[in-house]
Amino acid sequence: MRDELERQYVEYFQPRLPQLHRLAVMLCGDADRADDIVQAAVTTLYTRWRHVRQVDNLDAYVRRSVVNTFLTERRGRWSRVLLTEALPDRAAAAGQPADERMVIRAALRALPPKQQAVLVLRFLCDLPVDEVAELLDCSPGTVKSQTSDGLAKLRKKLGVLAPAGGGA
Amino acid sequence: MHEDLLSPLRDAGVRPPRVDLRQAIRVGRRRRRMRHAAVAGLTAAAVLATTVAVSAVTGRPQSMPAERTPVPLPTSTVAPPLGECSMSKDTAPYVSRHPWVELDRSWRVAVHLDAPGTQPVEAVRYTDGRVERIKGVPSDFRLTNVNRAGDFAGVNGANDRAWVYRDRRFTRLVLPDGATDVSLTDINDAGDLLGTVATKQPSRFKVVVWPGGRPGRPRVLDTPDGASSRASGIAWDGTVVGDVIRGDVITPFLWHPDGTGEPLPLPAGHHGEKVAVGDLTGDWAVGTGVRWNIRTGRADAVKGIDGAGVVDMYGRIFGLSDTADQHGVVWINGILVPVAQSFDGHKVYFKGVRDDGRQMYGFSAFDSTWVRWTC
Repeated sequence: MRDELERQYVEYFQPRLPQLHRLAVMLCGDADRADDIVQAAVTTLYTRWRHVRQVDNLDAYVRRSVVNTFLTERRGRWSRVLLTEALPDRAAAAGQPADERMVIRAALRALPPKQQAVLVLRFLCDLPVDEVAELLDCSPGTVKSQTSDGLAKLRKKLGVLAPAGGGA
Repeated sequence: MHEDLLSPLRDAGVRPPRVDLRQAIRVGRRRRRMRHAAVAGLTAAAVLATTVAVSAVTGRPQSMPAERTPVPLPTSTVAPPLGECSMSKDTAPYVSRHPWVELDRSWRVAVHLDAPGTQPVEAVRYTDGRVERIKGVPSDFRLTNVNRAGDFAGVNGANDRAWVYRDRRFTRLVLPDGATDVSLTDINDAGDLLGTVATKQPSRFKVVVWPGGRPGRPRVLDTPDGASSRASGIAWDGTVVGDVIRGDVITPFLWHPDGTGEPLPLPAGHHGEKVAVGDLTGDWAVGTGVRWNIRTGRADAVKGIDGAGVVDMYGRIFGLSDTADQHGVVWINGILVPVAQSFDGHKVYFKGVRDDGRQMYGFSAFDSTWVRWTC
């Protein structure tokens, strides 16, 4: 019986790991941290797999688990303090100025975790308001207000941080 | 308009995941067993485990025995040629433990935690193939650094406690006054630990060194007034590289063993207000677009590598190309040399390099197994 459950578990997750990893990368901005987030989420889900596999919308449940793992990690004091000021030396995509992505990611990280998640899920993962609300366990109205507040803060922050000339 | 704001993040090159479902199952099984054991009322076993742990782990900082003798790595830009590099599936005994394994820079020592996320955890240390199981690991310990002598360090709690394992015991590091959080970055072969601490009043980060054998005496390195500093690497003699951050400007910085510091120069024509030091090996440090020799102060412009890359003891820089296909390359004094791109017909993602540059490792895009280049 356990073998059968584990077979189902692997068959379900193996093809979905790239999507879950991409979601985690979008949320945290770092491929290695994203590995850790997804690893932690799938480990927890394994311990509950017997029940989890029967939920109505399993894909959404699993995505929520990844988002929650990210939010839990972001609530740690170190990440909150560190990311308000230090801009990581991250690689840039080909042909893209490195600074622009660093600045946007730093500004995003300076937002409260849930607000950051709302913006990422809506504008980087292209999820509709209702689905974001379900993932974050809040109302669609909250998602809309968080979106509005988050974008305003982001614009303000980017306005302050944008390098001279605006092209970098 | 909203999408425009975040759109640059959309094309972040996302490599394949390195999530290990087999590891998730192993850890998950143990967690379940632990839970069942607790429900069954095996309190006595838990008390016994705690007693063992307490006897091995001391909460108080202690002085340590003899300091290790630091050994400098050779410094030269005249590296032995890489020659022909062969690729093979990595069969080292610890590779299946990824992503929790930590290697020292010589790859002589590897340490991983057994069953992370469960208690009690044991550390497993491989030294030239010899395997040791180490008990008494602090709860929720997160391994961060290993040196050639086999010392290893990590943090636990809310990153407000740091520990080093040395001379067969874990010792807690004393944090400087006012520090609320700690992040460990590097440990040299003398056992000097390098980290960054955060303070709330004022809200800053500061680079700190715990000299080998003196975990109770943190040394906060000089940082210009009003700025924060962040650690990147510590050389064999205690020279430290990192960054000084003031507002939006990041300046690469070097601290001498006596604690005084100065900015690292940028090569002529390099325009960057956010150049952070990414890696240090021997006498060479690298940041995005620049390589420094920390003894001579020379700064060379580096082109063709995405990000800072990883530097070996000869100053060769290994990394991914800044072209769209992001293939593995080695920068050797201005010349870019590609490394093999595929193994068994599948693309391989370059990841790390040993300090002598003779071995590299990466991951197969097919099944995320480790692949090793030997040159």
